[in-house]
Amino acid sequence: MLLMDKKVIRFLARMGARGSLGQALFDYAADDNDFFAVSADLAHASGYDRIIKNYPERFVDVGIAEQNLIGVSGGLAKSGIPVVATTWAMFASARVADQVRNFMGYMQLNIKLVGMDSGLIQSRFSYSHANPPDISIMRAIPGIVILSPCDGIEIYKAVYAAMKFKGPVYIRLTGGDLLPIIHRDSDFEFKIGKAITIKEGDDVVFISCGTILSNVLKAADMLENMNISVKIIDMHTISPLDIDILDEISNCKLLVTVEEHLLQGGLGSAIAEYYIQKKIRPQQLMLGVNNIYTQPGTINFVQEKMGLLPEQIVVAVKGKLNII
Amino acid sequence: MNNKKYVQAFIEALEIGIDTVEGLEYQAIPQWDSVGHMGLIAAIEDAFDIMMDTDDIIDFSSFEKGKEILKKYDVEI
Repeated sequence: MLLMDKKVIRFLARMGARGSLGQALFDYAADDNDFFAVSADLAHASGYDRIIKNYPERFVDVGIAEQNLIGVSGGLAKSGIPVVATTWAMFASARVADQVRNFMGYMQLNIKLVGMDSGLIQSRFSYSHANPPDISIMRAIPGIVILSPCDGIEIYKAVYAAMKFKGPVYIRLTGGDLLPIIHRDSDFEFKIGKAITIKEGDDVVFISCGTILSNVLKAADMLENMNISVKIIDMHTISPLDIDILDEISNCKLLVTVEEHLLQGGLGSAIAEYYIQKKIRPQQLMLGVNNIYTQPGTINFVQEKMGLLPEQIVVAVKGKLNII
Repeated sequence: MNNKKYVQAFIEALEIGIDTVEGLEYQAIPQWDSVGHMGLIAAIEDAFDIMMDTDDIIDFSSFEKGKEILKKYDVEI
């Protein structure tokens, strides 16, 4: 494992989401841990180059055949060795839902499925690749841990945690080649199912996951300058949700969930489903993609269309606070 | 002083000896692959407290070229 210091934070940010994945897996292998690395013709994109060079016996390329990716991974996992399987997030969810449900959900095979370029990063390829409903689909398959790390160092730690976890995991990677740095202190514990409070505050609570957290941080700065005190929670594990932290904040003035995902079935939806059973629950503002196919364009362009830029988040929050 | 920091970034990021640094080019040694490159960039950014543009990161193809690129960031080697 890399020595966790501020240089590593910057290094992983520069590596990007998939580079951080590849680095984590390479280091995990170098730590003398056994696993298979499988991909659907995306070995280089998955950051597998050094794994292929140093541990070629661990690597399997199934070609552009994502359903076969899960089947082959399932077969390899039956040997008792954990398997990492990578493809684009749209294919890792929408295309292979049946195989994921059977091999990972029902059979609980030890596959760590990585959905790369989730969220809006592939918006230039339009609706076929962008905004995959991966959280919604994975949430509807019982028995799968769902992780959505927010920056390079969290991806690195999430991969280690997922590899050590005995059971199926879906890791959702958002962001592109240069990741924002959200965790500035490398010395934080990543525990599956345990959210991380990034900032304390009293008036408004933000819960988010993935690289969109960077926009939340900027929005929070703007709100603080308007004397609105903001708490920010990194809910990196969407399933199982950290219900302890949800109970802790149930009295807050306003809860804002922000995600680069459909509102339907996403993080905000999961949280709303938890609170609906409770007597005491906060007013919730859900920000994300509201039941449409997003337009093609740069990620900034599409985020703006979806109201996910920092200044737009601020306007939405202020609007809601004026109504409450 | 800047030269020392620049050379040290290469030594630490690529895990090479000082004798290998001068005249080194991208992919001339196994350590300076695409992953090593990002480690090197991160080390240089950290050493000089700068953030390099993507085009400059791509263009950074050698020890010498790097010196030229860093001038854009007001770093004289």
